[in-house]
Amino acid sequence: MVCILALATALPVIAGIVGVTAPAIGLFPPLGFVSPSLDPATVFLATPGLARAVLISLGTGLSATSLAVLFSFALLVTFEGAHRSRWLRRLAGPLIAVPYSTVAIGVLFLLAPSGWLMRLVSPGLTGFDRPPLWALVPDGSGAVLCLGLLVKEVPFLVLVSLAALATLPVRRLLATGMSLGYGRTASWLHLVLPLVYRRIRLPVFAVLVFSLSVVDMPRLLGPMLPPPLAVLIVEGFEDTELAARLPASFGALLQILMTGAALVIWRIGEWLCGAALARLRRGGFRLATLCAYVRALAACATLPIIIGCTGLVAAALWSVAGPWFFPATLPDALTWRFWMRTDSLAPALMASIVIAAVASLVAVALALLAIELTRPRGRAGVFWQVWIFAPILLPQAGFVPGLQMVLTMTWLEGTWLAMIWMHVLFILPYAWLILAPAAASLDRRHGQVAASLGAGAWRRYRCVTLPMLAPAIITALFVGTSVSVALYLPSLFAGAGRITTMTLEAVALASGGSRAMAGVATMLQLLIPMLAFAALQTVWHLRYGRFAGMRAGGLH
Amino acid sequence: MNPFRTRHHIMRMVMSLMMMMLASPTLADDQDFSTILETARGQTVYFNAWGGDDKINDYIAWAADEMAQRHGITLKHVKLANTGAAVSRILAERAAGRSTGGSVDLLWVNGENFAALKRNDLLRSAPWAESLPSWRFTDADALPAIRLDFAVPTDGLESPWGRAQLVFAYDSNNLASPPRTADNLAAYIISTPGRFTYPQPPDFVGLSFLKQILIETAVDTAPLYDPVQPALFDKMTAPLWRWLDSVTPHLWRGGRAYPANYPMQRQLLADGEVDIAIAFNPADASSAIERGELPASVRSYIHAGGTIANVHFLAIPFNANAPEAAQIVANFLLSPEAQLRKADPRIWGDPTVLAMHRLSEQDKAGFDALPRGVATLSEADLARTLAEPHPSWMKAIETEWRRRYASGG
Repeated sequence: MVCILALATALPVIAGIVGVTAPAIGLFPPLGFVSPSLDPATVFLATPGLARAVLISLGTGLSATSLAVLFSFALLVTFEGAHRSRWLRRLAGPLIAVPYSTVAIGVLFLLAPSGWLMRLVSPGLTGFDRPPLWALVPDGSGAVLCLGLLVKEVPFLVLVSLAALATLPVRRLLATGMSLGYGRTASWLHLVLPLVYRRIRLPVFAVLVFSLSVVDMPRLLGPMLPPPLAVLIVEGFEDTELAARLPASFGALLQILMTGAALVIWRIGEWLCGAALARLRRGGFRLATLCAYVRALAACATLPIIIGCTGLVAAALWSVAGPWFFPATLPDALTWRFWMRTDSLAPALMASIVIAAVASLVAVALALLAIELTRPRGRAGVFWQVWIFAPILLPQAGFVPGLQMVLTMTWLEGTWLAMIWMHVLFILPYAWLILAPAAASLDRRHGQVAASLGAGAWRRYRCVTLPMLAPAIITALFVGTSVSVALYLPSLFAGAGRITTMTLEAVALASGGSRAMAGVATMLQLLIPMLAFAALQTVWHLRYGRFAGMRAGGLH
Repeated sequence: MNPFRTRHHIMRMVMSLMMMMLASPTLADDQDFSTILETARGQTVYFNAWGGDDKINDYIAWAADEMAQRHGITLKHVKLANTGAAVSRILAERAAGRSTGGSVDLLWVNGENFAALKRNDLLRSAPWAESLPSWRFTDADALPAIRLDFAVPTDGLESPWGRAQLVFAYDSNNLASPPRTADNLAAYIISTPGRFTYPQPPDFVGLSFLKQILIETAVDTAPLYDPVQPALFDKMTAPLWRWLDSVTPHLWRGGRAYPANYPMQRQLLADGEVDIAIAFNPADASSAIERGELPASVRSYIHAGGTIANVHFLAIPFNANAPEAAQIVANFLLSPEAQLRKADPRIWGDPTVLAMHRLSEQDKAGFDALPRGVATLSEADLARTLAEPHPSWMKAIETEWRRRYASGG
């Protein structure tokens, strides 16, 4: 049984990796490339502006990730426990589910010279009846790209941090700190945040990996000349010249190398920050002014959240907007025309719901099983982590054709089994990185107590371990649903036109470039994560609402 | 027996035999076609086509209804965001050794994609397009592009579906008379900085714009219709780079950023950020006005020497599961009935590939009676066309453009 499961996850991943590596070294039989060569490497390394593209990727990826960690911690420290935190927590969930392209369109629509901000003051204050020539977006520095990334990443880190917090005795830790004469903020910094960070390290790595591989955003927000490495690679895979896939595959390997380098840099940064914090701790500094800084940081941190929400409001507005030209602040007329056409999408909606629900449940179950199986072996888990993360480490355009080959050879493409199988592969890494740290931090003594009371292994797992993991499981299910709903290329390949999902419909609709259709598509894509959010919340409250200690662990 | 009569008789026999031989291909085709029709009944055609326009999606849905009623064929539209995704899938099937039962039956394709599919033997190898009964309504002498897709012979491997032409759109409120040659355009860009741009290559409309300027500025265009020669490339494209060097600092955002594709540039026109948008469909501006995405004052124009025009096609992959039904669908989509409906701007507005002089009076009258969108040029205005250069030029131009303008140097 375990062997079959391992095979079911390993086989396509290995095929995916081979599917990228073989063309990179000049092997691609379907196009007649049958002997190894260095040509793909030479061609890709000769891409104009490559060095700069790599630097831009590293720069934006590392800055966006560090800012995301700083911002989410500032929000956590400022709002956790306070009554006004509720709105923040409620926003984090939906924002995770907003497609990257919508966030990019939203940022663009807000900041462009013809954007919403300019429309608010034009022509009244500025006298502009046409947009001015200077502009914030798209920019060449990558600053706006960072901002766009933060819109998605701050809510994600807030959500996983909250799940981590739920497993920590926060009040006791803070009380200890304060009894030693430290302020509340300093107690957070010294006692709570290091523990939270240890638990969310894997999600932070995922954020870093994702920042390096994002494609939709730089295409709209810049930098464009040259774009980040990931965009160069995708352009290679989308090239009508099919042989361009070989150098692009080499680019995908380069992307992995770059990701590795970024993770090493991140580790060094972690080590430096750890050393600095240790000095602070040992020095016994009271850090009385820290509170003001954290407040300021938290104020900055609301900016990406506000932008994300504004983007959503804008998308909602476009989906019903008639003509809407500069400098009009609001649409001239409202129309339901675009929504009238969505009735034909019911089968796609149903398909998406079924796939997201089944795939998330299976992935979470698999991750839990894997965690239980690898726990006794300790370090053996590392090996299994490497390939479990392959689907999110490799550019999809290069990775998915390898998966497709497995499906084609097993005559499974276009079946529900194939669709769910593919989705599980992409959800599994997220499920793992949310669940594994939570499982590792469990206090095993609860289990021992249960055993001493005569509970068998299964009962101990069901009645003790699972409820203690519940906050992480709920988060993993929600993130899993969001991931499933966002999968475009894997769904297209696995569905083979036989099964259509909401995202396939939405992305195709949005490719026409109309803001109205993009607005409708966004609303439709949001629908499923929202349903999941509501369902998971309800389950949580029904099951755990009566336990005071667990109330904090839901999605809020 | 009269020897003369016998000879006459033999002559008549030979003559009729020759006549029969001459006529037999058509006869055989018709027979073939009815066999195909027979086999096709009950098959399902997975038609992989771009799905970003609800008008087009509706048109395909109409065709699906007709196919089900007339021939018992189920036509499923697999909506794509770009054709490359379907090409990738066909390629993966080839790699996995799937030579029958493929997932794509019919593919909307042209230009570089077709050239790549054909070169790599990813299309159904037997020519089929020119034996479709509807082929008789076309005239390849009058419209050579139906047999020559971007200078690559179609060899009957794809069936023509519609026509496209590079057109420019401008807001008549901001721009009284748009520049109609490459030189005038350059002068306009330099005198009105920040109000012109083009989609960033490798976007195909952006590259088509560069090809347009290349053709307009080239001294001799003949070499453009053969595969690109490295020795000739620099000489041929020098005027293009001179043109771009002179205008780039005066483009939108100073040439430091470009819209990702033509719909984004259309949005920039709508927002008043730029003065001119570029599209590859003469009816694009009219449809956008109708959808409320462009102001009603927008009009379209083409360059005085004509603009690049091409034809888009339907192709059947090498491993199609229902090649017979796919041919029936392609035949129907090429019929006067389907082409007339497609050309109607209220339905879709895609120009027909049929030759008017091959149609019945009734069909011809139908085409004559079609309304034109408010911003769509007349057929006469669109008559000045330039042929697409050989696809190999596209890649070469893209690489050089990247080196010059996109490497951040």
